[in-house]
Amino acid sequence: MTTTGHEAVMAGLKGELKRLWRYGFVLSGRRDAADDLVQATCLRAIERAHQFIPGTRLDRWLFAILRSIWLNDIRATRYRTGEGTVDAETVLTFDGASAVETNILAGQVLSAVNSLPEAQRETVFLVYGEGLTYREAAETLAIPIGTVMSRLAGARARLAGLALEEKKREAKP
Amino acid sequence: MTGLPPIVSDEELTAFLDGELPQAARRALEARLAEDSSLADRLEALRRGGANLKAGFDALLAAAPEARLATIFADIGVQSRAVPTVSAPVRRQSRSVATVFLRLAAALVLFVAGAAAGVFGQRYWGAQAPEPVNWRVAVADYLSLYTRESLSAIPNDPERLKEELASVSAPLGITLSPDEVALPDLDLKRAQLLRFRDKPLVQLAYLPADDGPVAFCIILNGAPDADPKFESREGQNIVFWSKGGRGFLIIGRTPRPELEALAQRLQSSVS
Repeated sequence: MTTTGHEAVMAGLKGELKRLWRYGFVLSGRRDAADDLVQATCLRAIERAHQFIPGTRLDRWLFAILRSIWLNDIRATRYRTGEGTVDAETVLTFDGASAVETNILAGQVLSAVNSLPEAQRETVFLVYGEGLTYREAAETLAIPIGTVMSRLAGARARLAGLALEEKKREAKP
Repeated sequence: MTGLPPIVSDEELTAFLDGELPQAARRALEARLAEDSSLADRLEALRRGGANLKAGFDALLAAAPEARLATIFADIGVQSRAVPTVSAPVRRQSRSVATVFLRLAAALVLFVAGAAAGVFGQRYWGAQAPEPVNWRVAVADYLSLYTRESLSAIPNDPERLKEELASVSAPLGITLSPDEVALPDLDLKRAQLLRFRDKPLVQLAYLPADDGPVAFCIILNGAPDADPKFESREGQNIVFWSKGGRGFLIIGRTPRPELEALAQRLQSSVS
């Protein structure tokens, strides 16, 4: 007999926690919200484990759960009252002591990404962070591929603009 | 060809950069780019906009709070995995699933001490008490969910531990002091008051320098005095004994002789 959905979820869930947390952080921009999202996602995944089809992508299934919790529960009720309040660079310093020193560039990139509108930010993450194809991202987000493309193009244009401003600021004494 | 060439959109340029353009469109665009420097500039700007994104997200992944997530997971796993035993009892008939559920149900009872889980767990447990569960099974299950990381994130704080010990040991009718429960080469990380079948159960969690967590547990269960015995559960070694109406056990992946030495020490210091 093959494994059941329940067994597959139990076996794989722990290995996905960090990626779930990252997704939660990208969506919420907050550490506490990311923690809560991971927790809620695990609970719901276990509750619905019998619905998971073994052999399909557990990570995508979990992402869909996390996303739905974010959209339907957490975002609406608890977080994002102060939009963009988090300096993404701080997230890199909290756990690894000097992570930011070795990751100045990464910190800057994350700060810039965090300033993008949520829809762009999420799409950028799925495609450039998680490596989804346009089609996979479109399915995950339940939007047409054309919308994925316009979000990515919009994000790239905006990030390029931000990088340019940064450069100008640095050039000034 | 006459007239203006079709305008190339940012979307198209982005898809080009991402390798998402069909081959024909890609070739056509490459040809245009070779001739049109302003188009090439636009492409370059979009390329800059997408630079280092992967590195940024990778750094974020590396910064994920692994220890905290492991703790969250351990706690939730115990709470919720027992739910299917209640909502879908039929499933318990199927082989390995049944054993998993049984073990997890045992762990649930132990975890019920958590305030949020309290009402929830007891209601379900009370509604459908399955096979009798030995408290050592429950402890072994609970501990098997912990890794070094679950404890290493907790800072060593003698003052906090002193308070924790005093408050958790009160329901046992004894007073545990840091000296009494100190073990050589093990850092005491946390003292928790739990509950097993309505009986207070205290778990002291220790972290050795280079091994998995070790726990010393005491339950007020009214059991008759018994000399130390040894057993293995869940890949962990256990030494357990009873004295003065209380059950004691020490559990960990520690080899038997060392674990028995620790048990002996606790036997004489805690009573």
